[in-house]
Amino acid sequence: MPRRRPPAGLRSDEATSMVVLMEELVEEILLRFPPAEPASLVRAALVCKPWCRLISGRRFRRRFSEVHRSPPMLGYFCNLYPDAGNPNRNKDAGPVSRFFPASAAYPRHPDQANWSALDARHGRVLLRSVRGNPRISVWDPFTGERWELPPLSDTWYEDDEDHWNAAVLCAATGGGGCDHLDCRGKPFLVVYDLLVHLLVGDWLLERANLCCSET
Amino acid sequence: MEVDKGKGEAEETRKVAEADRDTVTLKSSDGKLFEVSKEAAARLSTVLAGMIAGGSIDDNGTDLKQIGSEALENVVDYCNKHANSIPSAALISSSISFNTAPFKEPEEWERKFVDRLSHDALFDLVEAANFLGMERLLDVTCHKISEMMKGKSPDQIREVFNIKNDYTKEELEEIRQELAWAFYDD
Repeated sequence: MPRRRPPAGLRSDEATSMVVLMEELVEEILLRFPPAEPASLVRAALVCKPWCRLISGRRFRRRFSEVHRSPPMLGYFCNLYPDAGNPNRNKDAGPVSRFFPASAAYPRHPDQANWSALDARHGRVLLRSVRGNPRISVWDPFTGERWELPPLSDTWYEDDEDHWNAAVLCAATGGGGCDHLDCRGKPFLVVYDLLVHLLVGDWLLERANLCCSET
Repeated sequence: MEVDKGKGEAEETRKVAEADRDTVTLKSSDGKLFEVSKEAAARLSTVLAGMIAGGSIDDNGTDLKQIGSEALENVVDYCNKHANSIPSAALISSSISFNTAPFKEPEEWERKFVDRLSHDALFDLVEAANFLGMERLLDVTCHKISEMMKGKSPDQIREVFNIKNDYTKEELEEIRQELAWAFYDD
């Protein structure tokens, strides 16, 4: 028979008629929150500390992802010149990588000035600086965590910067691989792709070099 | 010797009669008796199925000391209604697409069934469903409670669940500032 657990949340002393739900039932209820409405879970986490611990715990996040399978798209990044149409704009102002929400969720710092987004996958965004020697950075827009990668070798960008690209992938391999339902906190891999142009007679050949950097 | 044999036979006859019955009698914590379809009880509750299979069902009322009469009445009502309902095409198709569907949506009659309950009755029923291992009823009641919480502020949820706020004002303010997007429509 199911075992009774202590209630989640502290009961107020004044009222005693109401039923206080066991923690396992609170979990079952919160699991049924729609993933496209992340604000509901944030509000529930602010009800009391035991609920916050429950919702932010690895077990709940894992079950929530398993039950709802496809993670919702919270938004997308667009690289743009925010002042492009303004004749009086500051000509030195660089482009901005800006977050456009597709749900209520919104990162604390939606604009990344002087960075452009190269890729976004499994909750991480790959950014490159647009000034000076390109720097590469992996960013979690919702936790604010950021990892700077070692600078690229000069040979990667001295000729034409447009001929390289990069992607950020989940590199979790433990327990038979990762189903990418909860990659946060797991290792990631940045894959660089360099196209080298070779001119042989009248033929232009392209060769792709792949190189990886694991963090 | 003869008497003992007679007693044994009587016991055997009673057991056979009980096994032949198509209902079981359940007794609530406050001593009220309820009849429920044996087939529906075994199909909907893993705990009752185990008791029926193990022969631990009492003809005079199987004691369910953890469940009050109001909750048990709702459980029995749900089992009997379920026994009479034909699964809709929506339920069948959602069971096929289980891997992509989060949970099976409640049937129309199941919605009506939980909509008429008070908060206390609903919370009692969700606990009874959990205790009796009634997955479908647990699904329906949890779905209803999660819908009740939709769009509510932390204060309103605390009121419904009778929970004491253990955050300090400063802690709450800090989180609200950090996750301001979650509170736009407060």
